[in-house]
Formats: sequence, C-alpha cells, structure tokens
Amino acid sequence: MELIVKIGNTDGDSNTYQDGDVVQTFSLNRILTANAENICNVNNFSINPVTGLRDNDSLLMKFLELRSVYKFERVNSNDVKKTNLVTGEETIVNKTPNEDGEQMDVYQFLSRRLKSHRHKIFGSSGNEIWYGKSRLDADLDSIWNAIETHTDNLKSENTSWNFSDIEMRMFLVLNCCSHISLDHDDHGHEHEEGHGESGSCIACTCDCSLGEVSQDIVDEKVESIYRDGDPIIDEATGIESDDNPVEKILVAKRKFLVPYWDYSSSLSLDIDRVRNLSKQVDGRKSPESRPYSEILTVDKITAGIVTL
Amino acid sequence: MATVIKSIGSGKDYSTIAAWIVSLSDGTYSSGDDVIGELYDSSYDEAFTIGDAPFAAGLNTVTLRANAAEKHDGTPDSGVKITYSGTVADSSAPYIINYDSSTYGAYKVKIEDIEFADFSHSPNVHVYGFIVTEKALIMSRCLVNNFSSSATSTKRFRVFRMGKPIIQNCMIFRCGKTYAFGGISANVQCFNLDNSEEARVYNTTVYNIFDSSSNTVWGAFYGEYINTMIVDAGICFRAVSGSDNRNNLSSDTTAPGLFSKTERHSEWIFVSTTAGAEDLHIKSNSPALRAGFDLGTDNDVQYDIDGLDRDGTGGLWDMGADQCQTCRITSKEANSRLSLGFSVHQEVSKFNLSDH
Repeated sequence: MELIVKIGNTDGDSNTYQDGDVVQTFSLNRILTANAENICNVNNFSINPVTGLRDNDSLLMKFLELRSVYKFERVNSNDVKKTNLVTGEETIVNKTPNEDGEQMDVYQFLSRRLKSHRHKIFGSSGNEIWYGKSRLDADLDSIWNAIETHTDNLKSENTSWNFSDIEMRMFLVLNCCSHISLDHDDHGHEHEEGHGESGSCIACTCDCSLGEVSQDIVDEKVESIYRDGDPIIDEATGIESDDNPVEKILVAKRKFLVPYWDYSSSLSLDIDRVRNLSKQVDGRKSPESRPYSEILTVDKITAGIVTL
Repeated sequence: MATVIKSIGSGKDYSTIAAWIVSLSDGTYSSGDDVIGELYDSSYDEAFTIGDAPFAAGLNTVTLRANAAEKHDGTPDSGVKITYSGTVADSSAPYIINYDSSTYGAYKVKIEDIEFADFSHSPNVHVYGFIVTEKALIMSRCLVNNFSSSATSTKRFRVFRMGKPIIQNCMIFRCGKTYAFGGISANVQCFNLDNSEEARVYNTTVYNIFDSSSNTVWGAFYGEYINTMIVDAGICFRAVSGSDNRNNLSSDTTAPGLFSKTERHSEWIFVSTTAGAEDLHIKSNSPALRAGFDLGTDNDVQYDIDGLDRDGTGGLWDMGADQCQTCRITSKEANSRLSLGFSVHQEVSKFNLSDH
C-alpha cells in the first residue's frame, strides 16, 4: 500500500487535514489497475482510416474483453448479440424489448458513438463489436499478461503510483505493507511498545514475512471520525421504521495519522526537508524494507488524540 | 482574483482528486480565485468531500470537470469516470458537498461533464450516492449510473440525499438496492431533497431506479422539476415542491405540472435501455421531442448532456438531458401513439411546432 500524508497545518480544525493525516491510500490492485488503464487508454490506439472503426485483436480490445461484463456484436441491421462474459449467457437485443425490457436502436446507437474520435467500436461496418459495463472483479493477472504480450510494459515495473511533482512537495509519499512474525509472537503488540524510532518493524530490521495489506486496511486508513447525532426521522415520507439513519457529526477528517516527525531515523527522513514544501521528498521504500502498516500509522482514538 | 485551472490525472498537476481538494485550502491559490480541476484519466477510484475549507480560505468557486477532450458522449465508459470501490460509514456517501452556503454563498461548487459509476456498496448500513447540504452544488451534464447497495431490507438508499442542489442535463440510471428479501416501501429513492423549490432538477433523465425486494421505489421526493423525465422508477414523482413544476414525463401517472406527459414507456423514448450499452439519448418520435419548456440561460442550463446549446438550435427544447436535432416525428408513428392513449390536443400541437 502506498499513501500520501498531509504536511503542515496544525490548526485543529476538524474539517481539515492535520499534520500527519493520511490523505489517500493506494492498494497494489488500484495501482496496477490505474497503470493498466493508462497504458490501455483509448487515446493510445488508432482508428482504421478505411473503416473508421478499431481493428480487432488489439491490446485495447483484449483489455476491454477482460475488463467488461458484456460483449456486443452486431449481427444484422437490427439485431445485436449480447454476451455476458462472466456467465457466457447470450441474448439478442433489437428495437423490440426483450423479456428483460432491454431494447436498442443499433443504428442510432452506433451513429452517435462513431462521431467521437475516442469511440471503442471494433470490427467492420455491419459487424461492429463493442463492450460494456466494467467488471469490478477484473483479473489483473490476465490484463497484465495481455499488456506484457503486446507492449514493453512490465507488471513488475508498474507497482508504484505515479505521483506528480506537486504532490511530492506538498505531501509525504510513503509505502508500507503487512508484517507477519515468523516466530508467531503477538507481533503487533510486541512492537507497539517500541513504536517509532526503536520499532524494528518501522526500520524493517525485523524477521517478518512481508506482504500486501488487505483492502479493508487500505480503506480503514482513510476513514474519518464521526460522532452519532440524532436519528433522522423522515416523517415527511411516512416511512415507519425503527432502523433510522443517524446524523453524522465530523470529529476528525482522518482517523489515522503518520507521526513522520518520529521516524527521521527509522525511515531515513530529513524532517526539515519534508516540511519544506518547495522540496520533493519520496519516502517510499523497496519491497523488502517497507514498514509495517499498523506501526507506521497511529489510530487517533486509541492513542487518545481524539476523544469521542 | 483569477480563474486557475489545474489538471488531475496521471502525469498531470495532481494524480488524484483528493490531493487537488487538499490544495484548495493549503495556500496554493489566492483569495477570490475561481479554481477548476480538470480530469483527464479514464477512471478515478475515489470518494471525496468538499466542505468549508476552500471557502474559508477565500476561494470564490470550485469546479470539478472533465477536460473537454476527455468528456463522455452521453453513454457509460466513454469519458472521464469516477468510481468508488471502497466503503463509506453508516448514513454517509462517497461524494459529499457540504460547505456552509449560508456563510460562504450559494452554489460555489460545480461538477460538470463527469460520469459517476460503479459504486457497489455491501456493508449493511444506510447509504447514499451524493449528500448535498443546502445550496452547495450545481451538477451539470453528468452521468450517474450503477450505484447500488446490498444492505438488508430496512436500510435506506438514496442516489441524492438532502439539500437544494441544482441538477441539470444529467442522466441517472440503474441505481438501487440488490437485496431481494423483505423490505420497506420507499427505502430506495433517486432524489430525496429538501422540501423547497430551490432544490431544482431541470432537464434531467432518470431511468431504472430499482429495489430487488420488489418494494415500491420513488423517483423524486421533493424539489422542483422542470423538463425532467423519470422512467421505470416505481412512483416516478412521489412529491414535488412549489407550484412551478412543468413539462415533465413519467412512465407512470405521476409527472407533475403543466404540459407534463404520463405513461410513456422507455422503448418509445430512448435509443437503448440495454444493460451495459445504455444510451438515454432520445430517438425519433420520442414523446420528449420538442415538448420541453425554455428555461433560459441561468447556470448554463441551456447546454444539453452533449454540450449542445439548445437555444442555438432555433427549435423548441426537448424534455430530459438530450436535445436531439436529428430526431423527427413522423405521422405514422404519431398515429400509433394516439391509439395508445395520448392526448390528441397536446400531440397535434407539438406536431405543428416540430421542425419538419
């Protein structure tokens, strides 16, 4: 997981990020997905000047086949074969609604699509092919296999987020991972005592198995802290329910912070340089040196920084 | 005071929307600036909140939009898309515009030409798509689709929750709850806004708001609606605010106000309702053609989902997000519609006014 941390601002305003707050986290899957999308961006592929369509069997087509739920193939002037790429189910859609209520005027549909130079319509006139609806569980290994087959881009070289120069100045860019103790001790608890300079899972002098953090942890690190207000009784709607939403009152913009000022030695950070917003700092480590996510970040509630 | 445009995307000024939002209050800009963030990438997996901080720092307006060359063509996956694969807290939303408009002024946040899609939320909580407080947001020419919650029967789901936003020339479709058992009527609503005519939904197209438990869903609950089509959304217009609602269309009998049309079905209206290939542009002989009310030019409401200036066409406005200049009304189709129960007086009037 990579993360960017807010530098400066100690005004204590619950609505704003405070010094050390985790602003954004990036899972490895998100990084690989974003980098794949950039490589397979439609702007990187040409349109066949004769047909006005995109040629079959391009990397773009393979990417969309792996990334989409549906494939559409025009079979005549009115009918389109719709294939669910997950289940293999096939249906025909045309101007008459099918049993799912789906209808399509394929001529009008394609006419408008083809006006855009960014269209993603493949094949030949009368036999157009296109894809639809993004797969939320797309197989990244297959996508990267396709990219490596068609281009010089390697998955192994696309595991970092492409932060901008401004971001490298205005935020502290870090990465971290999970640490699993090989001696089966209560690993996290053991090192919380030595949090900071002496924590061996920060400096990564530990004897741990390192791996990617789970998506739950990636999401958790950017949570805000709310306190529950009053239940929202939606009387106007006439809905009667004991299960009402509650008003959420923001207590802190972020639940987790990185006390980077404590990590000058263990993360080899020049804190003055980090705080100089005209200087770029990249605190990311190589995979074998990444700190433990649960030691790097501090839960403000647990640490007593925020009281509910 | 200046208009300052920053690019957002891979290799741009900022790689994420979150980092750009932080910049709005970190001294990057001068007091009085109008700040625009332009999105370039095909997708962004992010949630965001725009609160008081940019305006406390003195900014005049904040706009998040797609770069003109990267904007959608009115259909999914054709331009800049914001998704969110993470989760949100109970009674919250991935996209929150909640600055204090009574302190800093109305409608200082604008979101334009962006697709919001694929927010599929599984925690068992009440969840919304957008939370807007008071007069905080003008959303123009956006696509919102495939927002869903799989929370159990008593949990609420709203696409838009609260406030008096201005939502114009947008298309919203395939949003709802996927939990198939039990349920409570009206737990799924597309618009759940403040009871005020200042919550305005103009020239917007809504299609397929669902609750898999088969309980009744509501398309619109409060707000003022003009030139808005709500189709296949249970009770399409459950309640509206004020007395100026007009020229709306529904697939049931509820479209409110003068010159509104009811019981019009999706296959008569849209180019495609096929899942994964939705195209809610209107087609020839659509009842929405030339049936809208001229709303003027406030907040650039005259620009349709494709950026077409309705006033520049010289014709009457269409209902919904799309202004179709190539669409025509043919007498054969019209006669068939008349036999299906259309008002003879209204339709004949529209035929006379169409630009054959």
